[in-house]
Amino acid sequence: MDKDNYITSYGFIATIIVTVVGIGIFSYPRELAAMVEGDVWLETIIAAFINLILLKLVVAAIRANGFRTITDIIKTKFGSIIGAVILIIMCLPTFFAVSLGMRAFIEVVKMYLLSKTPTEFLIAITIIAGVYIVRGDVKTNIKFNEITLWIMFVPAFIVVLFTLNHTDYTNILPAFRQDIRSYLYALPTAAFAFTGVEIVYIVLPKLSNKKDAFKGIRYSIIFIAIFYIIISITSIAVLTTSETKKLLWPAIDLIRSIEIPGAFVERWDGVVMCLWVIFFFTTFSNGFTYSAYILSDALPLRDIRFSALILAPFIYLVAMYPNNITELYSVIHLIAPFNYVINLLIIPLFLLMLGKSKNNNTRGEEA
Amino acid sequence: MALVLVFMCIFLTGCWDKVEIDRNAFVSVIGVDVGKDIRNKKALEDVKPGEPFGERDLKRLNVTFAFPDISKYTSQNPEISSDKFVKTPAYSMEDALSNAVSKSSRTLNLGHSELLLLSDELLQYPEQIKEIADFLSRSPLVNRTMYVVMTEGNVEEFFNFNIEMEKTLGTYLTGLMESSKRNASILPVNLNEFLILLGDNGNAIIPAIKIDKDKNEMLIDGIAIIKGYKHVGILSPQDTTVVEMLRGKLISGKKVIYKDKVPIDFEIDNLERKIKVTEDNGKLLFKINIDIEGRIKEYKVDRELFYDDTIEEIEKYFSNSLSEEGQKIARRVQREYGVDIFGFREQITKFMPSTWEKVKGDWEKAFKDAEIDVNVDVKARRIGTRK
Repeated sequence: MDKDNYITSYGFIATIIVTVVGIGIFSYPRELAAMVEGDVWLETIIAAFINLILLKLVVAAIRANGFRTITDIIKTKFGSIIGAVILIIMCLPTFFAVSLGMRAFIEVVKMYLLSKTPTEFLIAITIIAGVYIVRGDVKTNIKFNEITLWIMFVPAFIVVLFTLNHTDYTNILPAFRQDIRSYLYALPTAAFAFTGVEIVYIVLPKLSNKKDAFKGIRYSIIFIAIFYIIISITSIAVLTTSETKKLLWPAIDLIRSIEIPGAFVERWDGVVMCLWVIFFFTTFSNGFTYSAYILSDALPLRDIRFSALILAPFIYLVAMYPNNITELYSVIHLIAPFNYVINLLIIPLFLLMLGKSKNNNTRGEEA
Repeated sequence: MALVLVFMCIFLTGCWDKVEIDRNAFVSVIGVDVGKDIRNKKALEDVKPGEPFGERDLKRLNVTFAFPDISKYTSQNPEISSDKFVKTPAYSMEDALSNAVSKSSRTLNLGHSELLLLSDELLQYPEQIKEIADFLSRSPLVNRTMYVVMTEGNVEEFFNFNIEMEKTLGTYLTGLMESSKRNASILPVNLNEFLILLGDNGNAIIPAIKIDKDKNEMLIDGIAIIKGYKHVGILSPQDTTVVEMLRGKLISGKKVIYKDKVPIDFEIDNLERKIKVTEDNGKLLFKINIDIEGRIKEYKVDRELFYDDTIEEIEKYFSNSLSEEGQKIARRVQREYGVDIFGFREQITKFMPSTWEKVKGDWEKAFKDAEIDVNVDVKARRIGTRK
């Protein structure tokens, strides 16, 4: 295999999936059910389409620039100083998203698992674990993603199977009864649940089979959408719409209300929570890698290990910033649009326009 | 090397959340009763939100936590001999918990509780029930699969009651709930279902238990109906089977008719319920169609069942008797309590959203005025091993 194009299609799909599916899945059913009640599935499908269109744009932009790395493209187009500024702007939303996501994760952990352990300590050790994996460069990360994909989703689907005898799927009815405005308002929330897709900027240039890049993206987005739909619909089927709207993390309470007849283990939520630590950690490690990777070229540090160390204290500071859970979620909702507008709309459009004019060698297209 | 040492010092020095199993008391039953200050509404009326309140000693609730006494538990004698109790007056559930912790040598762990008992007197105070429901729903540690039961009389009486079959109240009552698959006169409701029902509109149904003082027995006493967070009435154990049938939840149960002075026992194996709603000039008509499959268990030794006509006749009698019974109870619940425990509201909201828009303003009135028609169709599939 080519030394530079080492990512397999499976690694590519796994990376997108584990990066996108994170701690947001716990609150996703509530956020959407609050706006569109049982029509969560519809909203998720539309959101997945929007993301696919945006990602198509990203793939086209990178293709037009000959599949070079994003830092390379931007630096040659804009020069090293303006390029560096643009790169930093690109990595900032992701950086904020992972830092705040970390805080949300820690809040869940503190609520259900380790109530007396100080927040600072939990954040610090998660960052250190993150730094450790980021130092291994993108390659390590991809391998890690390939392994965790199975660890994450096999138990998750098994858990959903256990809920089946408590479900009443008619709870998602009535369908299509909401105000058209609530569908529109809910759309950004649903679309932003796919935050993390910007990871394609750094994995795409290293993909071995670039021809089928978009196919891989399509598979992963469909997978994520199906997973979101299953979790949301099961939450509503078990807890009803009105209860789903009231609980902070319906997906967790869904597991808490499982009772397996005859099973010798009670309270499955503890087991599942431990497994789902990985859900967060992959989101974090990939987002962290993305930020560190771009930052290392922007500054220029030339080594992802330095940039990871530079970012670590800032992640800590951002994660500690929100005063409480309410503030945390309002800040998270504030950051998400920036990520989409900058990384998935403005940058690809720019690259597409500039790329067309100087379309030189397309590296690895035929590989 | 130095770095490794520094890290070891920082990260291997302590564990904040360590749990010593012998310092924990795993609460099996939570009993909530009224305290002596519950009527004293004035005490709280003139308290402003910013005022220091903590010092006030208000005993609005009486909470009992029961946990198995595991001190005598050994591998040779693996038996829990009895329950231990911590009883405390408190102004709220959280206060009760912290009081109980300060009274006991162990940390109370609510994660494995099996049963929540609410006294009927407490269920006369909707505000308190709302607070308790909030506590139970907000706390991440409470076991959402524990059963909820109403006690007729003081909760304390039930804790002190000497049960013959089991050593602890928790095992006895949860055992009863779980055997409901065989005996339909009890309707088990777990905390999750209870919170969902209450959260919707303050209405719920939970099983009720009472103590028969003459016979010195603890009995299941049917279903307590809660309306607007308040206990409004009780349905007898005989009615419970019918209510479960109307809710389409009955898994198994027994029914009897008398033909030629002989009781014929019929065991229900399977049940399917369908609700049809029609609207006529703003008046709702609910049609409950129930299909029952089952087997005939007992007849008379000098008679034979093995004829198409006989079976058909018996099926007809059962269908009529069950339809009438269902109709009667549905009417009673509708007229007397005005609480929709059959799932009509869900049916309308889910399948007839435009009708729901019309009636949601005054659903209770619409429900009370509605016509209910119960139609049961019984099929005897098996007759045992005799002609």
